[in-house]
Amino acid sequence: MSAKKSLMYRLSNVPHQVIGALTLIVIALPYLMPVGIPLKITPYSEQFKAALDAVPEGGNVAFSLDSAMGGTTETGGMIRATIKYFIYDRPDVHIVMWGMHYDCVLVFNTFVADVLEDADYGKEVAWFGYIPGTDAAIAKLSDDLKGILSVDFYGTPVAQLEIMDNINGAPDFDLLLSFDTYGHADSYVGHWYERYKTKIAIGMLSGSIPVATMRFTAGQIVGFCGGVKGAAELEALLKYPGPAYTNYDVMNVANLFAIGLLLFGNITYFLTKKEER
Amino acid sequence: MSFIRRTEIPITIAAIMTLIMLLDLFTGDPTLRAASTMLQSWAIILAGFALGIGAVSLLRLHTTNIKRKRPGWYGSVLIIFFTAAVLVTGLMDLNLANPILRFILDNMYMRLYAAAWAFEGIFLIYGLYRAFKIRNLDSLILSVTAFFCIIRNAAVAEVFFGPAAFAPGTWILDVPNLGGIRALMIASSLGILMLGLRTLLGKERGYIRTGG
Repeated sequence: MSAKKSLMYRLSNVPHQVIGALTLIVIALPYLMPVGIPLKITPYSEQFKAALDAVPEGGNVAFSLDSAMGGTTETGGMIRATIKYFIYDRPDVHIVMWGMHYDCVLVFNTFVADVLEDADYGKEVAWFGYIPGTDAAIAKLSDDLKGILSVDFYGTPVAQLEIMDNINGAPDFDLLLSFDTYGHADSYVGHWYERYKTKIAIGMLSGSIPVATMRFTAGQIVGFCGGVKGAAELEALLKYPGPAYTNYDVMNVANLFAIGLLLFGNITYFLTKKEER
Repeated sequence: MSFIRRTEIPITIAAIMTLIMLLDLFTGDPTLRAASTMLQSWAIILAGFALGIGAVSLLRLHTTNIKRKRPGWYGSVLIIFFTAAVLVTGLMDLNLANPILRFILDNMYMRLYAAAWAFEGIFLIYGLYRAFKIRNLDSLILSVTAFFCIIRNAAVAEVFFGPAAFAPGTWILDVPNLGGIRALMIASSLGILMLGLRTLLGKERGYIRTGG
């Protein structure tokens, strides 16, 4: 009886090293043997795609890279799929890019730079790099964009960039996209939507979905794409499969494992309590 | 008391700035808008300086660690070395294309950053096993909510339970969660408004280190 009790007690107190090792194995399996779990597109991802499609011909899109590099396991896929969509499927659209997170240059080089090689720089697209100041910078960009963006990332004066001829602030953009891991999107809503009613769509971590849902239902944003699941759905919708689709398998298996652990932890806990009684 | 040490001066300046920003937001007057835009430019410049101040503070802290041979001082040596390496190689090519910099960024910074996040994931999973045990009504609600929200993210659950598997998780996110988040946001916005009002009236003195 005591050996049985001891076993149950041990099962309800598995060391974190064992759980960590099991997690690693579970996560590694889908990479070694892809499962190919079918993707179910949610209405939120469809609305994000609809917001991209709604940009009028020759329209202007502000593309804010606000992700930390560590967060790009979730946002990287959506950034890449979206920029590919605009460059390859909608070359008429003008893309003005900057970043509010100091990792933005890394994110740009990893997920965007090679795609932009196929675009006409200065006419179709411009890249301004990192802008410090977060909330104040976002407010200033909405009112007086050229007051901050006087030269692009490569040092070219803004007057020499044809794309910037008619862009002076938030009212000149048909859509603002913020791929965010640090809450910059809230500042965009505060300064760009509240003042100028600029359409905003957000790509972010799955943990930010509750706040994004609130903003979406309040009409402050026109769409959002959250986490690996949202990124994989967006890749599928835009027909540019990428890293998120691979990670989707892993996320599914990891979620099942998490549910299993939650149930296992409770079952062993109650059996231990029963034995104690 | 010396004139420049008088607390009334920073309080008055902060009150005027707050007033300009608030009036600009609520009136949209072009003169106030110009003043508010100028203030925002100042804030951006100050934010740029803040990065420099952060770097100086970091160097001061870690040089002191090395001088006093505090525990883990060798970590401070590494921090100073890599800060200098990234700064020098970054300044050599502002497009971040310097090969040494690229090596540091691609093979160290990005990998370690991703590893740190992944490490967090492992502890989250361990937390599900250890902390989500149903001991009382609160933990029951927490565990049931977690269960359905995780199910909602696992598309594979549909294979076992059909589309109904996602309904409880979606309801939790769309109804109680949405209501709670809205209440939280409205409450925090009112708090910010009160803070602005206290600053405007000179009641908020925490930022000038005199309490209040």
